[in-house]
Amino acid sequence: MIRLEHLSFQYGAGTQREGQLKDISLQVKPGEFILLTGKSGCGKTTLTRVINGLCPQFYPGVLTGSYFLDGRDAASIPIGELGSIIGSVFQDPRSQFFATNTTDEIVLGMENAGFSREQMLSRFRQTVAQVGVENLLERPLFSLSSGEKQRIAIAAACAVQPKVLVLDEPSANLDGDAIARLSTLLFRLKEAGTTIILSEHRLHYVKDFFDRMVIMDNGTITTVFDREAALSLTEEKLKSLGLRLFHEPAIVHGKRLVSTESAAVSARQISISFDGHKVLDEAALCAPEGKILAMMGSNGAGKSSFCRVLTGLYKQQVGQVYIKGKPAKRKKRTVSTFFVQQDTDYQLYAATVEDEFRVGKRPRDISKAQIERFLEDAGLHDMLGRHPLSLSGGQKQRLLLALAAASGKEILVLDEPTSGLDGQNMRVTAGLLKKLAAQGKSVILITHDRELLSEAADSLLYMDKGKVVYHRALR
Amino acid sequence: MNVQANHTSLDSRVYLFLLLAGAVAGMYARSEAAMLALFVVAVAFHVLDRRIGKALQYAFGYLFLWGITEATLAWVSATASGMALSLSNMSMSGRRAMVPLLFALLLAKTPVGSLMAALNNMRLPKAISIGTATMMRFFPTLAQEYRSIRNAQKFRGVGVGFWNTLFHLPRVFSCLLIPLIIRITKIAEELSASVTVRGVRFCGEVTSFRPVRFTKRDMAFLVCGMAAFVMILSFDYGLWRGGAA
Repeated sequence: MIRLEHLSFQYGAGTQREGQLKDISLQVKPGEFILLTGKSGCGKTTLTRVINGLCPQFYPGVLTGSYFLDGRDAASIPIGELGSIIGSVFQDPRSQFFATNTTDEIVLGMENAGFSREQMLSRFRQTVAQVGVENLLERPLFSLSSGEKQRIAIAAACAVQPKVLVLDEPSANLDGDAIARLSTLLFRLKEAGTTIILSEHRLHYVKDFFDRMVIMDNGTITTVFDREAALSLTEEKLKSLGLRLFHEPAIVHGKRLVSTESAAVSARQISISFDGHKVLDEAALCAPEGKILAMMGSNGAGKSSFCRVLTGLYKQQVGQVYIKGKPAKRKKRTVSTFFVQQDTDYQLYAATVEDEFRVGKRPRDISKAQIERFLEDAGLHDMLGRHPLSLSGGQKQRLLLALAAASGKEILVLDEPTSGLDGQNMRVTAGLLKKLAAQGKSVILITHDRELLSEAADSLLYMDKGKVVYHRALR
Repeated sequence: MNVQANHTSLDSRVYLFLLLAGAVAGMYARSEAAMLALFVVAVAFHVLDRRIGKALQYAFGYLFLWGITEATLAWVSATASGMALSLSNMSMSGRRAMVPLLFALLLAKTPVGSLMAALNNMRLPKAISIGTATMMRFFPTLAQEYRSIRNAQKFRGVGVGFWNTLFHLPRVFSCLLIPLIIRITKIAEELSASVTVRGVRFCGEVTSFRPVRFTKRDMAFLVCGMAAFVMILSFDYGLWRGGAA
């Protein structure tokens, strides 16, 4: 189906993108499921872009070697035509939707390929049934959960009935249930004969049905394992390759945790509603100093809303938030906490990493030596003069943790700090969080990442439908 | 499986023409009464689309801006302050811009495929239909990104509270604009890549999944809207009485 021979790609002058490709040779048979993995910046995304034609037809650059698709020289196929053979699903569903409504998004590709209405209707029905999105039709896209958005993105890619499906980290923003649904969906597509190229850090959800695992490093394919060989790799070996594991660590609960007066932040009976819909229903929490509390639950369970109440972004309609045992109003909560959002680009403003430490209400009197110490702790010692937005995703996360440490605030709240990170970066971030907790900070994590949970968290607060189901210590 | 004809009650071309006419009328309106009348016409289309809550919000917005204009005009006449003059101009321009923006918001609710097919039926180059559709897609994105950045700023000690924001306005703006530009550029690039691989291109035929029809009802509303704009400007310029005011 796909044949790459000594393929190299280098992004055009003026771009500083990571992941140039060097001498890639790979053959993919029809109906095969290829799991493409490797450390962040190893070239996985660039390889998926070469396969779907974005490189060099959209992202300019120099492509050498050969790429054959179904026996045809893919370089001579216009990208629009390639789109009808290869469906693409990107990491962030927010930026891949052109329409504002689910039904319109699914049919967009067919409308632009000039399908007749009858053809469209027939394929639309088939796709909706295959992907299982009947309940999501005719809904505004912006109001869907991450998992629902990702299913619509897959339905949109499948509507033109492509022979090949290329997915770039589709699980990055998904909860456990949504990942399980994604896994079932990919299995069904494979069974239907679709060739699948999946670029991923999380390996566990396809371990039962991928055919080959391709590991990349520094723009080259270093190893190709068949499924049996890949699954027999030891935990140590996977870690040494900077990869995540094939199994998700089990959660072993300890005793139930109760409120204590010494908590850095606590909340009682918090309720809020939006447009008549109850988002938080008498939720309570107690986050002690020097500990890491992880919040889990499905997308839409109320975790982010709860953290927004704790940090003062939302005002609760019922209940009270306490900081160090004293009732705290919204403004007090905002100035006492540091909220690191999932998308780090929202929180970096200065021209250099060093200047980032001096952004704020009152420019902080902080010496260069102190900044270097904070950066050293975050593993960013040689980044002082770099532009913050030129750092990788994992480095930006760690820079924000260094800024949080420097801010002097005692309560840190992080929304999915390891989303889209490879195993190595995830473990570095987990280590940094533990270091911050050891300094006495109270750390609250919103996460779906069980590996992070097992590496770093002291307790787990599980939420469902706006309620706290339990809060227990972890062993 | 039912396919709804449209999400808005009128064809997208009605809103597009009224948007363009509203922009011209808003620019040339001279009196407060004319500006108010233009605004009322635009809001009436939202009421027609059963967006009564939103229509009320826009009316409050208009009143707020009108209040600023009146207050700053009094300030200007008392002190000839440059800041008051700027605020007065901004609130006036804001009210003028509200007329086309209200139609743009209605246009943004139109399904992308229907909008592109409708523009294609008008024999407009596909570059225009793709550009218009992209612009409409960016309205909700801009609002969402702005809110996320403003929330994130608070934890970095930027723009915390009204007075802090007012006294450090240039700094707050710079901290707002940098991430906003970065995010919008990133989203624009990823969105372009996404639509490119899905076959949206500057050539080729476009079909619509939803029926696209310009009905007599659409024509009636378009004519009524246009006529209202012409009448308002005629009154404003005194043409109704047979001469300029």
